[in-house]
Order: sequence, then C-alpha cells, then structure tokens
Amino acid sequence: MKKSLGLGFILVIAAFLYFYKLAEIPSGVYVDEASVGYNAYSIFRTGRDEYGQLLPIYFRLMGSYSPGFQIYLLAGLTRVFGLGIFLMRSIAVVTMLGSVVVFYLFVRSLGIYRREETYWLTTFFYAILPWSVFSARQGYETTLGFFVFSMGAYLLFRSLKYPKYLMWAVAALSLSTYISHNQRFLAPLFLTGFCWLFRREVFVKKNWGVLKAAILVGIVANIPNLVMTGTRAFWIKNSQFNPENWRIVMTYLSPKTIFFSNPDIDMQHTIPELSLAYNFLVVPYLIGVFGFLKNRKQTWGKFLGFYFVMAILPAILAGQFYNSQRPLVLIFPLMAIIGVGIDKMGRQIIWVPLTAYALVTLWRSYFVLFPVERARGWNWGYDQIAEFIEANQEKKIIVDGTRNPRAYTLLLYHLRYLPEKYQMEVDPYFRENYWQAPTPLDSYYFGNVEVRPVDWEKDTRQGLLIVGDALTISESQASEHGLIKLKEIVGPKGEVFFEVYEVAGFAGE
Amino acid sequence: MVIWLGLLGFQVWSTNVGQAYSLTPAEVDAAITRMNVYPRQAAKMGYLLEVKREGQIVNRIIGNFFTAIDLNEYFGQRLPIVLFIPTMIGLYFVVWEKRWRMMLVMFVISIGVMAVIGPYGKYGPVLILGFIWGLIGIGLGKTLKVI
Repeated sequence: MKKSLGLGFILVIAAFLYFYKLAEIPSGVYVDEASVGYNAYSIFRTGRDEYGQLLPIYFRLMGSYSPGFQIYLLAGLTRVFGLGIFLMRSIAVVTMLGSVVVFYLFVRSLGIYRREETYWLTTFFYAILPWSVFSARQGYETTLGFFVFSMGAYLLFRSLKYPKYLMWAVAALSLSTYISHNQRFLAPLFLTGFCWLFRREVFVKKNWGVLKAAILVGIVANIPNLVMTGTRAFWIKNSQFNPENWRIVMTYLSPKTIFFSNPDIDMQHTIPELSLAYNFLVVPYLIGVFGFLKNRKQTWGKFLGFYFVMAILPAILAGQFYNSQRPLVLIFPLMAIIGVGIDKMGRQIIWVPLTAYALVTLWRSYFVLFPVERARGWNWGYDQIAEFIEANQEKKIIVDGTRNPRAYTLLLYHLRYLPEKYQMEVDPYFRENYWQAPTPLDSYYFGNVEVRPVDWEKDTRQGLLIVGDALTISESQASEHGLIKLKEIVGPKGEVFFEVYEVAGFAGE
Repeated sequence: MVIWLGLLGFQVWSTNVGQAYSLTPAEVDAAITRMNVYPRQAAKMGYLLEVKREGQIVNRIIGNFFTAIDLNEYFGQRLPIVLFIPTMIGLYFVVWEKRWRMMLVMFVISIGVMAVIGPYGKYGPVLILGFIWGLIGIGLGKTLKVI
C-alpha cells in the first residue's frame, strides 16, 4: 500500500510535468511528428501511406523507412479522437509514465540500494529528469520504442531468476524493433550479448523448455523483419555505421555532456541551459560509478555494465555527430548508477533543496526558455502558413523549401490535406519504387502549393504568392521582381520567421 | 606534494581569471532578452535567474567545473583516446586504495581550483593533465602487474 502510494505520488508529479501545455510546448510541430501524424491520418482514411503503399511494415516517410508500429497505433487513436498534436504527443506521455513504473520495478529487482528511500528518490529523479520530460513530450516513435525496449531489458534481467520471463523479454525486444530504428539494431545486439554474458545462467538444462519457447517467439515475431531483409529499405541506416565514429565516444561518456551542456547540433533536440540530467546529479553519479565498479562481478554489476555499454554502442557507431536521442535507453543504467551514489551519500536533508532547484531549472529551461528559443527548430509558424494557403486556394503558392525541403509534410499535416488526393498527386516513381530507397526530392507539389526553391527566371507570373523565410527574398530582390509584401509571420521573440509576397509585376508587363 | 604545489601555482599564474567571469556585451544582451521572456508574474524570478550577477557567477563556476572534468578536454585533443582506459583503471585504484588517499584529495582540490579560476590557462589545464599522467602510470602499472 505504502509502495503504491509512493509510486502514485511520483506518477502524479510526472503526469503534470508531461501533460502541462502539451500541445503548446514544444512550440510548433517537428517534421518527424508531422510525418508520423500525416501518415497515421492517411492510414486511418485509406489504409495506405502518403505514397499510396498499402499497410507497409516500414514507412518510407521522408526516406527513413521507419518501423510503423507508432503510426498504426496513432491511426487507431485518430479514428477515435481525431488528429491533433495533443493526441500525437500523448502516446509518448503515457509510455514515459509507463517507463517510470518499469524503472522502479527494475531498480527494485536489482535490489542494490541499502535504504528504502533511495528507490523513491532515484525513481523520482528519473521521472523529472530533463531527458525524461523532453522525451515524454514528443510525437514520434523514439519514446515508445525506448519504453518497450526497457521493458524487454527488465524482463531479461528478471529471467535470470525466473526463466519464464525470457519468452516475454524476447517478445518485448522483438516488438521494439517494429517501433523505432534504434531498437532494430539494439534489440538483437542486446539479446545476443545477454545470452553470451550470462550463458552459464541461461543455457542450463532446466531452462530448455523456456529457451525453446523463447526461440519460437523470436522467430515468429521477426518473420516480417526477415521478409524485409531483401529490400534496401531494411538496410537504409547501415550506411551511417562507420567504425571511425568511435572517436565520438568521449562526447557520449563525458559528464559535461550528460550533466551540463548537450552538444547535439540539432536545435530540436536541445533544451536551453539544461542537458540530459541535472548538474548536481554528477556527484552521486561519480560516487555511483565507483560503487558499481566495485561490484562489477556481481550479477547486477555485470548486467548494468553490459546495459550501459550496449545503450551507447549503436549511438556511437551510427553517426559522426553526437545525437542525444539515439542513446535514450542509457537513461535506465545511468539512473540506476546515480541511485548507487544517492544510496552511498546517505539520508541527507540536501535532497530537499536540490529537488526544488531541479524543478526551478526545469521550469526555467523547458517551460520558459525552450518554447521561445527553440521555436525555429520546432518549425513554429507553419500552421499560420497553412491557414494562409487555405484562405488562398484559388491562387498558386510557392513555399520556399531551400532550407527546409521537408516542410511539405508540415503543410500536409497542418492542412489536413486529404490523403486520397495527395496519393494521386505524389510522383508515381516513388510509389513504383517504394522499397528501393530512391533519394528524397527537393520539390513537392500538391493542390495549389509547390514546396521548392524559388526560381527567379520562371516565378514571375502576376498574382503568384511566394512564402519564404527572412533569407528568401531581400528588399532589393522584392523591388527588382515587383513583389509586394502581404504578410509577416512573427516568431515568439518578435523576429520575422516567414514573409508572404505577391508577384505584382510591372506596368506594361 | 611539491610537484602538485608547483603545478597549482603555475596553473593559477598562467590563467586569466578575469576572463572566466567577465561578460561580453552580447552575453549581457542575451541575459536581458531572456529575462523579458518570463511571464509577468515571474518577472522577479527572471531577474534573479538571468541577470543577477551572483547567479551568473555561480553558473560560471558550475560551467568551469564541468569543463575541468570534460573528457573531451583531455582525450582526443591532448592525449590519445586509448589512454582513457589506463586513466580509469588508475582512478579506480586511487579511489579504493588507502595509500593513494592523499593523491585523491589533491585531485579533488585541483578540480575545485579549476572550477574557480576557470579554463583559460595559457598552457591549458596542466594541473589536471599532471594528475592524468599520474593516473595513467598507476593504471598501466596495475595492468602490467596482472599480466
């Protein structure tokens, strides 16, 4: 009862942090969210994705061939609740709340803390971690993939004591491969590595029945994946793998990256003045690392070490730049190790002001600065462009896609453009070569809209509307080509995000 | 101890401490812009968190601390990455073996000093690098002993 109340209290606080102003913060819609949302809408209405492909396993989207579980889940929810940003992000909220429960069960099953309150404190910090809050409030598949994978990892650890869990662990890990790219690489590596590391515990005579069932589950669950191995789409992310990338390992491991500043070059992934975890947690982390190293030969020490390495290995190899989304599964072993440090620090009153400090910094960085300073990264203003397009359906509109060719998906999403119509307009080449990974385009056409770079030779027809950012059209270009500014779309800080021009032409032209 | 005191003195002497705490006009401007983002009812909080000098000094010290323990500052830039492994092995023994307790204390004090004086040493973080070389020596020694 006491335990349920404690967990309930943490979940209530987490739910507040995850749901508060969910549709407004992040301010805008990220292209991945829009792409997932629009394809879910398309599946719900037509049973086909935006290219007209019938119920694909992997969705081509913008060339990523993402596993489709989240899209199908969202399609089902869209049927009931209707398409919207709140609904899209709610999936991550619910799964992150679920992960709080799984994390609590995980550290309980490790059984490594001497003090009861350490379990609560560690779970609480896990729930309010900037990384958790950020991941809980995004509308694409990363968080759901992380949750199902973490459940699989937890069940795998439990299987060392209760072998029947092995079958469920294999089922969860297999399912995670249909949710997110990360898990497609991580899950098989994790399962294989676990079986090798704990071979003396796993491959024993009394487990044969369970092992046979687990292998059967693994094979059956992966039939769709195996079928897809013959396509280029299955191997699409392999081109990013490069052993040379191991040099970035120091960035992933550095306490500065984890606790102070996130070096991700993608603005969408970062929160101003906050990294993945609160800066003061570096102290229990460093203490915890040495506590963990001392116990590295124990079962829990071996498992945590293995989990930690596995969590960052694919992330390191998959890109030459640091990416804070790829190693999301690191959050479990990281927080478990921080818990070791918290436990060693003992019962200290210092955690009360530190909790207050954590909540104040989270409020400052995520709820005050982030929506303003990262508005551009989250494509703020495209909803207003969509409104403008809707109000000018009789006119031809060019949306400059020079700096953001993927903007077409944002407009499709915001316009709720009828998928059955778009499927007829999309270049048939992509439909016919769906699985062969053709290079994404830099021009897209639908209805009265063209998303492409402006061509100053051709785009001179009177009445043509041009939408671009502040760099698209200079004042001298506007006067040279006879353009009249109709509208400005201003960002949350007052800076001009987009401008709308009409080609007025010149007298006598 | 003498070497450490020498390195400590050299680090302090060669560091432009003022640079660690001075604000450029752009930073002052950014702080004021940020303050104006806060909702009206939290304006005082905005001032305390963004503009108040004491808050900025604390932020700088925290930043300096993380720069002092940033692995990228040392491995890959000044030392080959492979030396990270013997460094960690050395650090492990320094933490757990009582005979190295003094070295551990000096290491922690050095990081504290770096957090206060900042990372703008003319010759880099020589104080910490000295320790890292020491840790590498201990790590390699322990590894060779096992082999």
